Amino acid sequence: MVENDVASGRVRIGYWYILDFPPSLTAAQAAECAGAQDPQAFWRMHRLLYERQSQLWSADADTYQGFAQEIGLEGETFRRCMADPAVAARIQELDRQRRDADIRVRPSFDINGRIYRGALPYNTLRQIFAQP
Amino acid sequence: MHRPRHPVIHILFTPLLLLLLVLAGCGGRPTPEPTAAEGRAQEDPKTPTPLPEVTAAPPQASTPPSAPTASGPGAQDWSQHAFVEAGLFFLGNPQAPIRMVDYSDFL
Repeated sequence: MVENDVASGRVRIGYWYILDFPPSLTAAQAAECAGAQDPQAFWRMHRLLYERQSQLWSADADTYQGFAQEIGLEGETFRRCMADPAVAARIQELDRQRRDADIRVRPSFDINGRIYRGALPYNTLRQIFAQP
Repeated sequence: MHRPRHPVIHILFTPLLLLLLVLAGCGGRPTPEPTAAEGRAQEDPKTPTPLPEVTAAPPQASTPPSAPTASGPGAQDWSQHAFVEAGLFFLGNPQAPIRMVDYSDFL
């Protein structure tokens, strides 16, 4: 989808954190802190977190610091960001908002204001995109 | 007034002159060996040709030329353009008619 619909300029895609498990918050903080240095870095960290998903259950500060180094972030800035309680609070507030909106299925999608719950095959997405 | 050549001189020097001319034609400076760079350029047809400078660059790094786009090969690739909208991180064209938000967990 990114290679077709996003690349062509027809779709823009954003990410909203769902915190379903205890380690979810730290992973979300890593993405948020990457994005704080550069919005492009958010997506690099986003990709890396999914690639290393199995490591996240036991990840510690050093694990995330290694991720940051791997995608070219400035280490000390990242460390300070990860320790900033305001960052965690912001992510938790986003999670509260989605629960208030009754978005509880993971993943869910908001496409031009309509909520779709559950994973969507690409063909279904294309049909939704084609709707007026 | 034209003086005829001496026949002995003519007999001796004509073959010598011809020999010198033949040697000059076959010899001369040897063709220099190609330098390492020249040798690679001749042997490797994949040697890249310098690309023309792009003046209207996309907002972020370029993408592989094979990346499909809906608007043809000359269209801008938005898949590398990241930005923040309403406090969320987005990828794509900020003016895209379709706005999609993925609610998900990294775990």
